[in-house]
Amino acid sequence: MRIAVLVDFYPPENRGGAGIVAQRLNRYFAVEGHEILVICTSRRGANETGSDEATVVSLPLDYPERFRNYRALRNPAALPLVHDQLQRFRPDIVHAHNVHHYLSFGSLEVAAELGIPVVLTSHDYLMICCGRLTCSTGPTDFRPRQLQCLQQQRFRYNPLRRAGIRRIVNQTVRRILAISEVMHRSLALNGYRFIEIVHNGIDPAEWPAREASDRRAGVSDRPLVVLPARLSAEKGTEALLDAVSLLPAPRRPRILFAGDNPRYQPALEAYAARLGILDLIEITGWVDQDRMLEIYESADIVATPSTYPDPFNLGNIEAMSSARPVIASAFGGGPEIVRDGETGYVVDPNDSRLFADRLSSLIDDPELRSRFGEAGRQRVLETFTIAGQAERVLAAYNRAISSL
Amino acid sequence: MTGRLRVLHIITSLAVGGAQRHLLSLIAGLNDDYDCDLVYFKDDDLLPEFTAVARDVTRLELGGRSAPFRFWSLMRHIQRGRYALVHTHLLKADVWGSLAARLSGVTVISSKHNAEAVLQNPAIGALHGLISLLNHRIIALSSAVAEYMAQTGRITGPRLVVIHYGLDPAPPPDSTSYGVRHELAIPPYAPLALCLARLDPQKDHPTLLNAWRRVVSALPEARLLLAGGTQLGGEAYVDSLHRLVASLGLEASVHCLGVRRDVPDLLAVADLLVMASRWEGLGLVFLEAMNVARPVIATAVGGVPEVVLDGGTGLLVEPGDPEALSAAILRLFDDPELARRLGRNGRLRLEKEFTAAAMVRSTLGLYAQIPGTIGPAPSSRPPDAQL
Repeated sequence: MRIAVLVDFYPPENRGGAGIVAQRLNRYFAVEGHEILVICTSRRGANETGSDEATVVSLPLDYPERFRNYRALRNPAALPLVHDQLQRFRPDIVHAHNVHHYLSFGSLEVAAELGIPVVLTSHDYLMICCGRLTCSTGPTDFRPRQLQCLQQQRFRYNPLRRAGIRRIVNQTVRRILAISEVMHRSLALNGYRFIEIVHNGIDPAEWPAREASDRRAGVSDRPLVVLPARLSAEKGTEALLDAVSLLPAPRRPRILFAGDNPRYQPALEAYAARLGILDLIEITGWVDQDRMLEIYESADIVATPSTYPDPFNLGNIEAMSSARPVIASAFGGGPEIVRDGETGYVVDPNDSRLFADRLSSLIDDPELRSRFGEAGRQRVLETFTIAGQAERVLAAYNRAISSL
Repeated sequence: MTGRLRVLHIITSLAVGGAQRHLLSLIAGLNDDYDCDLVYFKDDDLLPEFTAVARDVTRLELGGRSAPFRFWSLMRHIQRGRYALVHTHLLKADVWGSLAARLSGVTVISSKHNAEAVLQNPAIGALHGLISLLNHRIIALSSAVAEYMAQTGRITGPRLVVIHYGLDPAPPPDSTSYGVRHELAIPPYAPLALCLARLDPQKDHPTLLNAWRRVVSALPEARLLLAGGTQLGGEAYVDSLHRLVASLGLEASVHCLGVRRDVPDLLAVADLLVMASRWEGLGLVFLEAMNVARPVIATAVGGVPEVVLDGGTGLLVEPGDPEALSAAILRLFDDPELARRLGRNGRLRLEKEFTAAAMVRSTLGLYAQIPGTIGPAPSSRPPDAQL
């Protein structure tokens, strides 16, 4: 099958999980013998490279950030370029991941006009919200608040953005793949149709369960809690610090933030200093996959306490595949992935008391940690493998092609 | 998007259950000929499975103060989808789905998966009879349910047809897998019985536990697995079960597993399936046991005798009789040769009479008779079509 993949950011240009998921799928499909063209964007001029898994075409697209909410619908600079690429490659199917930044949803119309069936994977809330749906008031609330949106976006606010995207997608996309049940509900409640749930997956061999033996000899005997995410309060950094500060001083773990965000980092350090635990935290900056493996290996507990309904969070399954217990957020996809009391705990990140309790019960009990870790690894092998994901994505391609 | 006819299935709940699994295989089979959409009212448990087979899955909550608006949105959903046919499953969906579809001018077929006890209330039965007049055809999954629906549910006329549940025969499981035994530290030689049922009074676990006490006094190493979840509001029953297990001193020999999705694996490690149900529509679970060639001990209620042949594919006892039930369990534990024979017969019977392919063919035949729709003729399908 000839597959054209549309994605704004493709590794090594790295911003969030969508590009990574796209690349993992492409690698799998390439091995299966499918031919893949990746159409992505770059701010450093056009180039065409062949990586192991696909031909990667970077379109030189850039525009001032403030027009984002308008260009997300149709980016006039992108459409002719996408049209040329698709016409030359003649794919059997177009699979769009995140296109709301540069390629824009108009490129889906381009594909549909060429008669190519389109499948769209929705990785985040950007089809229904300009941000991360932080206005959500509870685990089942997915209705964007327009007034808050106006306050947040101010002069950038585009009242027709949501309806416009919905119109384009409902008219051109044959199957929407939602990465979790939460994503499915949020899209269905906002008027999208023909949605299918395909959970993200990873290659368990790439994220092996390594035994962590005397790794901290001579460093510190405090256990290590890792928060694997881009630094931001929404990913639960402050919630984690709050919880740790509730523990008695000698039993506090060390905290490692595996992610970067130069703008937010000083604020986070100031927050930790205010709680008096600055000496316990460490910020690695951006890390690649090899380094991430080492971090998971040295971790005792992995926390993903997002305070917004984070729809999946790859950190969950990476940690589980590395056989580490996970404390996940009750918002978003956490409860679907992490089984409370089996592979880790699910907590409301705003409930610092409970969060601290869960932390301390894992800190005190190495036996429990390894049991949860083992169960997590098992769950990944059963439910969240890249092979399983790829199989379901292929099935969705076939259904889209047969126009079901 | 295509010229194919569209069917809307409406079901009350997507909790794990026989009706839902039946609907999954029905939709998968119909997909070759129809575009199938689904509307459900509550519970998300099987949502991922359904989104993988249905074209579109929508949750519309009914009930609460805004019920009239919700009913209106269900009607609008039916009108906008331009469906040729609406097919409803389970009582609540039958009622609201039939009303909404007929008010939208769409033909309705209704499936009766169970002999619902609420229909024994004469007023509700009469109302059910009135609503059923809206249905073009009514499918009962067994003759027993059909009879119950005709008498208690007040369904009149020749609209009632029987189409049995079906299951695609799967390859026999790996007999060396001791997964669950290992998980629960049950020795490989211990006789193992499995009860796969919602923790619900319908399934009559107390009788089973009383019978089990007799089994354990004869075979102390025997173990019983109870797999199945609770529905909302069933906590009192579960508590009473836990108390009963404690008072009978069965903690060591009875394991409660909760909801399990690895049903074939569970059955494969068990020696037999035992069900003490007070009533059953048909019991998809019996087909699953037959699929992995396990003998069945069940109560002769509802549609069960249509599936389980006493002395042929399993043993049948009267409901609410712990003594007979324990005798049947001990008989199969004592005679592994008989157990194996019953299991093998069950598998053969499944392949011959209860395949999903046959169920889908019959349903397609029914759809094709709907006036005003030109459905694909069932004879156009090759007889050995893989569904």
